[in-house]
Amino acid sequence: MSGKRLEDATVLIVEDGDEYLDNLGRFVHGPHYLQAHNGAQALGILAERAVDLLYLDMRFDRIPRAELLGDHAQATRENNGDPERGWRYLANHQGLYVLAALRQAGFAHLSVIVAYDFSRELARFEFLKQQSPGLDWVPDAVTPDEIRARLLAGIAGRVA
Amino acid sequence: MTLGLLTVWTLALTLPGTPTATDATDPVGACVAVLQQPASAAAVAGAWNDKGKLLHQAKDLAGATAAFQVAVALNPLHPEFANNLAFLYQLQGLHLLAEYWYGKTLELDGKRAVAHANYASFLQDRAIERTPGRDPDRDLALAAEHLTQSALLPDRDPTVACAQARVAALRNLCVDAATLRDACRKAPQKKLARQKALGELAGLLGDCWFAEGDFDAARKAYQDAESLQQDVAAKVAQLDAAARKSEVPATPDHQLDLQDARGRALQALERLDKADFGPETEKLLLEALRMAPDAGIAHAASGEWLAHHKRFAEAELAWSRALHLGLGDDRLTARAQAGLGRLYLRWPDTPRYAEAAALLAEAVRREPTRPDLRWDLVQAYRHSGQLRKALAQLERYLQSPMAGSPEQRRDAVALRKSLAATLGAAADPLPEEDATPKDRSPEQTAREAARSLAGQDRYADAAEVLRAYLTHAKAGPDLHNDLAQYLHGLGDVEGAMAALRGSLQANDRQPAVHLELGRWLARLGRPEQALPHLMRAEELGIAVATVERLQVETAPQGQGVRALLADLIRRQDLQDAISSLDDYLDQARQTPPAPDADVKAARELRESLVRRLRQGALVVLAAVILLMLGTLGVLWRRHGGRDLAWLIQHHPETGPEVQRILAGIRHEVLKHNTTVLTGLAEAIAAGQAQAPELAAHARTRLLGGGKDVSVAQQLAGYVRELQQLGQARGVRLNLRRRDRAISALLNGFAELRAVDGPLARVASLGPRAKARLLRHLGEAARLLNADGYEAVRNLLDSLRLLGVDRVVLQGVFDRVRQEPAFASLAIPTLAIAPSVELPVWVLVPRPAFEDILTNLLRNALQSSLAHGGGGRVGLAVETEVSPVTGLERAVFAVRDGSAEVLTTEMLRGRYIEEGIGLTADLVARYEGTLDVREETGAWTKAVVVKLPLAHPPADEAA
Repeated sequence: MSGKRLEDATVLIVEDGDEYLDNLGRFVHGPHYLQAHNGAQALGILAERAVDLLYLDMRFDRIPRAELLGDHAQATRENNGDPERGWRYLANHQGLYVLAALRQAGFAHLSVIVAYDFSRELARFEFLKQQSPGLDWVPDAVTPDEIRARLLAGIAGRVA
Repeated sequence: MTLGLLTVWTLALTLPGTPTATDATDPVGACVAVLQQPASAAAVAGAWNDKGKLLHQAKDLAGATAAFQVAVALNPLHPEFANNLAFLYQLQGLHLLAEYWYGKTLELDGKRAVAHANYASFLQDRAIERTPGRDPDRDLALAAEHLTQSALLPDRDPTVACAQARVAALRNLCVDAATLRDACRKAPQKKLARQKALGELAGLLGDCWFAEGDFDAARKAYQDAESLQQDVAAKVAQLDAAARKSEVPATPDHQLDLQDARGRALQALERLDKADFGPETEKLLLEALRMAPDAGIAHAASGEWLAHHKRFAEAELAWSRALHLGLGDDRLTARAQAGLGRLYLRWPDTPRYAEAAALLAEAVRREPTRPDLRWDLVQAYRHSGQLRKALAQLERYLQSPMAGSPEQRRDAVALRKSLAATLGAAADPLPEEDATPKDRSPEQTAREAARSLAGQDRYADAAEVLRAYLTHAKAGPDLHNDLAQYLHGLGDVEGAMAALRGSLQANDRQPAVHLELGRWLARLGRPEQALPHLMRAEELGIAVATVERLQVETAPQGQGVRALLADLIRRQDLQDAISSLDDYLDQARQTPPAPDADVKAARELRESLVRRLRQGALVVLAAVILLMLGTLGVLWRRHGGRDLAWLIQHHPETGPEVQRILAGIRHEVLKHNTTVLTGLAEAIAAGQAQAPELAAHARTRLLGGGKDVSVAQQLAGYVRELQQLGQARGVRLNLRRRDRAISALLNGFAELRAVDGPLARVASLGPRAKARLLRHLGEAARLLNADGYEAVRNLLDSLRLLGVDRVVLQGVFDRVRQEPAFASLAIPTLAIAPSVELPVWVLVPRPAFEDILTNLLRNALQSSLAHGGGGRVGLAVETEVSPVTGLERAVFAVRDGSAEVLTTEMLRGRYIEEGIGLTADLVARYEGTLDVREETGAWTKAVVVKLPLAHPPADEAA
């Protein structure tokens, strides 16, 4: 995908609401945006269409629990045996569960931008990037130009 | 006396519209009705004369006198009015006035038969009464002359011969009297009247012949008298006694009896002076009266005795006889007059003030140096409405050095003030009523008429008299003042004030009237009208007017708080008033006697003002304190309170909740804003066509108005949650002003709201408005995304609280080992086995971490000691990472070698001992987990705590 123009790119936005699609559609013109509201939908789209980049939200607390990816039993165990905390854990980190599902589905090298501020957790990001080499992130406060730059880098396979 | 009056009544009035006694159910009212109609002064005077006659017929002597006085005032040249007035005065014992008006009548009409007859009757009465200061023989001679003149006039009374016969008999002209008696017998008159007249005449003739020593003629005359129903038994007895002693003159015996009687009466008086009203005194009095029934002094002394025993009617008779018979010396006469006067003054039920006044005036005339008599006279005048006389007597009373006790003097001063206020101090007291009647003016006559009516509590009639006078003539201030007094007595305060105004129009230099009018106006709540009068009274020299003025000027304005505020505003005025009152009180002290009531009023006002000033000061103080507290409260509300960092520091248990909320803010609020605001600003700056649509999107998303919850609303919800978190711990969070993170966010949204209008009309904005909008958007973006986002991140960083190293771990174990349960035991050292570099950073506050570890170590130690572990406890420190999320956790495994079985379920459940149960709660609160795992080697099991691992702060990491 090297040298691909932004206008020719397809970006799949995976979020629990519509905010990213709204904002990117309005303020970051060029790519063709697709949208999925959960991990299963995202995998379905990826199975059917060519996607240059996946723009991934981290927290999915507005979708039904049944749509959350991840092992709830495991999450419960890791959260002191509290099932509620287990669900919350899955929702709060759903973006990374989607990322894990992509890897398992063979999309480990897909360019992915996670909308999460890893600036204070760089080691963690590095840990994740080892598993998903196409992973990048944007902070919460980001301008359209910065997003545009990340998208360009992503579709060019030059993620940081 | 009846003769004259009947004659007066027979005179027909020829005035048109004048009522008669028979043409009205209420004749007096009918006359009043006429008086209220417009008419000439003569007609009105005639009506008043008519009214007087009707009142006399109704036995209302005072009312009749007043009416005749008005008639005379209105028409002083009418002889009938003057005659009637004289006759009324005669009936009431006002001799000088009667004589004056008879004289006036005859001066006006010397050929008025009835006036001559009336005057003769008056003179005859004086002679019989032996009025002190008069010559009876001369009076009788004068009476005979007037009767002769009357008999010669055409309008003579046919019975004038009867009067002539009586006077002749009294003059001891027995032959003339007998001749005239025959003429009297022939005079046309009613049978009963004739019988009575002839009977009296026969008695007098008997006396005449007896005095002449013609006992036979006397006896015959007495027999005639008896046949005519006259009681002459005593006289006959005397005549018999005299006849038996025909050789010896009767007079010397009688003179001896008189002397004895007088001696006994004097003894009785001495006893009475010593307050001895017992039987011995009574015996002396009875003896005296038996010896000489005509001994005036015996009757006078009897009057005192009877009055003391409350036999008032008998006392009145005794004193009247005494005065009639004569007492021979001024002192005794004055004593009798005073006794009877005082009796009238205190007459049961209806005191007879006018009569009391007449008698006491006579007594005072005889004994002018006795203040007690004068004081009683003052009271009599006062209660009979003769206020001017009362005031005059009061002045004389106060001038007397012997005038009563200090209390009485104080009362007198107060009364003088009251009277002066009512009458007006500028007016001089009138002379004594009987002193100079010839100077009396119609106005004075009208006033006297009114006063006489007022003396009987007939204030309405009194006022009517004065008003009638004012209808036709101008009057001086005194008449207006009288009118004011009567109207006030009737409760007609407005009318009274109008009268006082009239008085002031006549003479403005009446300080007491100004004062009184000012007082009334002030009490009626008209301070603006009252003040000029009070100030004028001050100007004219009445000191107490100052007090009254200050009362008005400093009256509370409103009630409650309003009054207090008003006092505060005019604080200086109140202080000035206090100074003025101090001056007044000083002056009152230096120039006694100041009226006590005035001084008391001044003191009370001063105290009231001081109290109000103090209250005002307290209110000011309270207001200042409240203001300060309010200001402090506002300042505290605005700038006080705590931020989130303080909350977390002092209430570490709130850390996880704060972290959750901040994560929500970060996720829901902060995301997208930079994108939206920056993108919008770029579009506006570039003048892109889609800028308005982007602006609308930004407004809806950030500020609200769409179907979804806006970012601002989400932030408000999170802020509420944080504040509730603080409130639950008694902490007031001032997130808007003190918390760097939240305030930046709130201010950012405030910036956006400030440009909500321009955002709504981006398409039509001019260059300057657009530039201003861009500045605001830039500032909002900076606040929300730079300041706010950065601050939230820093706050989240600060929640990574604790770096756990060997010191921390060993310190916890040492404290456990020193607990009483373990202190005496030989506990092996803690075997710390970190598999990672220490410190490890956990998102748990130190106290919570220490509590968790303390409980686990204690539990392990107990288990080890109890179940064969030998008290050995170990602690492994590890980390683990989630392969999916990349999240790391610190793992603290507390090991022991006991044989006790412990499962994870037991740990997390409530059936284990409380200490571990609490530990499980704490661990859960900080997003940790608690497990049990089997261990190998020297250890049998480990209780494992996993806590979120934080990254070290920047300086630590470095």
